[in-house]
Amino acid sequence: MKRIPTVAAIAFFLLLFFVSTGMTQEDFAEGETGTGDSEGEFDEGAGGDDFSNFGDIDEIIAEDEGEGLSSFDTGSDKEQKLNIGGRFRFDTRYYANKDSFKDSPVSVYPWVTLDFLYQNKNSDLFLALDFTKNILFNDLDNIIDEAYARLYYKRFDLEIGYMKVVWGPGDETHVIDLLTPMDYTDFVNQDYLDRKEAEAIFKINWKFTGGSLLELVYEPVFTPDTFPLEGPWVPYNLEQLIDTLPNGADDIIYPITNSLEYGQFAARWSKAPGRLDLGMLYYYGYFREPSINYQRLMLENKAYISWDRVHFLGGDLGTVLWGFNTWLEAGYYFTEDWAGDDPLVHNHRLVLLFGFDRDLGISSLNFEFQLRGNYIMHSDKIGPGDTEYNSKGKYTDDILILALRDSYHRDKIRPVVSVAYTIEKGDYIIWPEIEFSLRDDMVMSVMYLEYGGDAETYFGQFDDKDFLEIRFEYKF
Amino acid sequence: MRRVILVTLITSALLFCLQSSVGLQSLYALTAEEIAWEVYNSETQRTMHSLVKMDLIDKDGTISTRYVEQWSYKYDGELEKNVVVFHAPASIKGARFLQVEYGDRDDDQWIYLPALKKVRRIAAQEGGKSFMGTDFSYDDMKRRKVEKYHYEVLREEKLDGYDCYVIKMWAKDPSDSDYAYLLRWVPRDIWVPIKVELYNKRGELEKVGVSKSLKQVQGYWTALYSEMKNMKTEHRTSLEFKKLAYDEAVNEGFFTTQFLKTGRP
Repeated sequence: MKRIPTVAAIAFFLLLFFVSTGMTQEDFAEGETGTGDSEGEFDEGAGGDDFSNFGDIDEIIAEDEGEGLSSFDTGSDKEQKLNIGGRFRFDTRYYANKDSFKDSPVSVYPWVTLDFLYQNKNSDLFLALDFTKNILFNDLDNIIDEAYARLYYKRFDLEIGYMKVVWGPGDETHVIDLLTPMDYTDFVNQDYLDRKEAEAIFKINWKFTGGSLLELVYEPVFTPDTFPLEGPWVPYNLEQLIDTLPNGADDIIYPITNSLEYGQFAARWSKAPGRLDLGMLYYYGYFREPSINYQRLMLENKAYISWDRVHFLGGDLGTVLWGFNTWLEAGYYFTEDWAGDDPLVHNHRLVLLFGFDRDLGISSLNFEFQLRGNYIMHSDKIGPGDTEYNSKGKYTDDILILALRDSYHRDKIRPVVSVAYTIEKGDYIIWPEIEFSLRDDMVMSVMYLEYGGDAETYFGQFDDKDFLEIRFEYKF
Repeated sequence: MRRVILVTLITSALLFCLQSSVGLQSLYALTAEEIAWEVYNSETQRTMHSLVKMDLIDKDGTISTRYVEQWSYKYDGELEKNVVVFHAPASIKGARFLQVEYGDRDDDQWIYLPALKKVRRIAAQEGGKSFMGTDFSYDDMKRRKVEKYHYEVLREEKLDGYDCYVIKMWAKDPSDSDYAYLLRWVPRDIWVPIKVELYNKRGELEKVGVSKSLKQVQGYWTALYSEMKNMKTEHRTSLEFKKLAYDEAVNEGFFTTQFLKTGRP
């Protein structure tokens, strides 16, 4: 097993070497803008009047609307442009107190994000800032939501910076989306991209003829998922752990993960050859579920956290079958615990996501089905003291996620009812939601969340946190 | 003598009826199908690049505006690839749509939503759905393949100053269309329909589309303004070309899922 990381790293660098040495000066040629304005390609006689001269699209729109510019030239080169946009969101949550309704807690979440996109002829610079109250007062380090540059060359793009990357065709849930951590401090934030956190990434996207793409990734540090240590959304297992420690969360000891040892590599090949969208990926990094050394916990009353080295092989597929939009993600984690009997390391794991959706032909009704599976291998070797030990012997998780959507008045009213249900453990979450488009850029939504199940289950741990949420969101 | 006159009159009447019963085709230079091919072939440009303003107009007059930029490109003869980029409003800015036509099977379609950072396939069977909340369906935005329809010339009619053929068309396979039939007003020698009536499967008039401001752009007749009205809701969608260019060189990289994600070919 120890040879595998070395072999994998050598293979990765060999791949990078052959790709880079196979490159010629032509590869570093600036990418085409595609409008045929390069010398020799544009037929001046075909249309040189103002009607066919596109220029700056945002300027045309702004002039047409008679409004101030939302983008503007930054220099004499008309191809430079800075776009500013963002969101304002205001959430109000009413947590149901079934004993005394008037004492139901109410939480208010104002949230502002600002996005800057600077576009040059062959490069983009993107900056997203997050101004939630929690970040401004408690976590100023995380005010940068994303900050990265993308450089465009003839055959490849280069992305460098702090970014969120989404892999996999699943709908707001994935099993092969490994590169960046998740933020679980607001467990019920339904927006998948908002729950993701950015990571420092160097990425090459190599484009081949025929529509295939090879993505090569290096991440210099490992950032684990974020879990709240206090408040209503502390996971049950973490809460139990904190309660056993003399100094609470202060007795949780984390390794330093911004060192060379915690670098990660990944490669993903994808292609859309027609009927099928295909992808295959390899990731050499860390398993995002932490391991806890229970032996040291018993001896020292401190929880020593570690993350297991993994090799991950996965793939994905998207297609349309008999009118069903269908997708599949699958992958296998190879940890260092091949026999499954090392209590300090997670066992190998198989993960699957299968889903489809289809219009029902009545109104605009659309039905969506997703099944997400998580299967721990060699579970018969797991006993008390193992980092993955489950007192009920449940080592598989199949979560069924269903959604029924409709829309009225040209998408101005969009109701949806969603259900997620863990088949083995019987816990669930139901959330109906209705969204109203008040104006083009302003949306109001009303959502109710109901949890159910045993306290130590994924959804059931929040059984007493049912709430009604009213949200206003304005995009600009 | 009376018998000769009577026979002559009856024969003339029969000949007249026979001519009429064959259909009006015999009165015109072209058959209905030939007219349909003229319409289809009037789009002979290899590529098109446009910026379109779409106004969604409620019956009370409230207007929501969208701006979309589109590239289309013919490959392998008459098959087309289309990509659409939404520039405004902010709620859909950055959304991108790609469609690839095939001769022997359903089209491939994908949509990219910036809120998900993900490219998603759309089934071709969803062609009857509204295109981004407008009164145009996905199918309305595509060229209808001539060989998939039956045609009949109903009459000639003058409309907006143009001498038009009024053509009825209906799908050979009913499952290929969300409509029972369409009526098209096609100006002679211009071949760009200036009016279309779309009838649903119950035979009710569902939508009416009109095209105005017919002009030659780079030699191609083009309606620079079109409007589709839903007769039941009285909601209208107008399309106005703000910019248009034909036959310019277009990078094939526009018609890839990678372009949908990055916005760059």
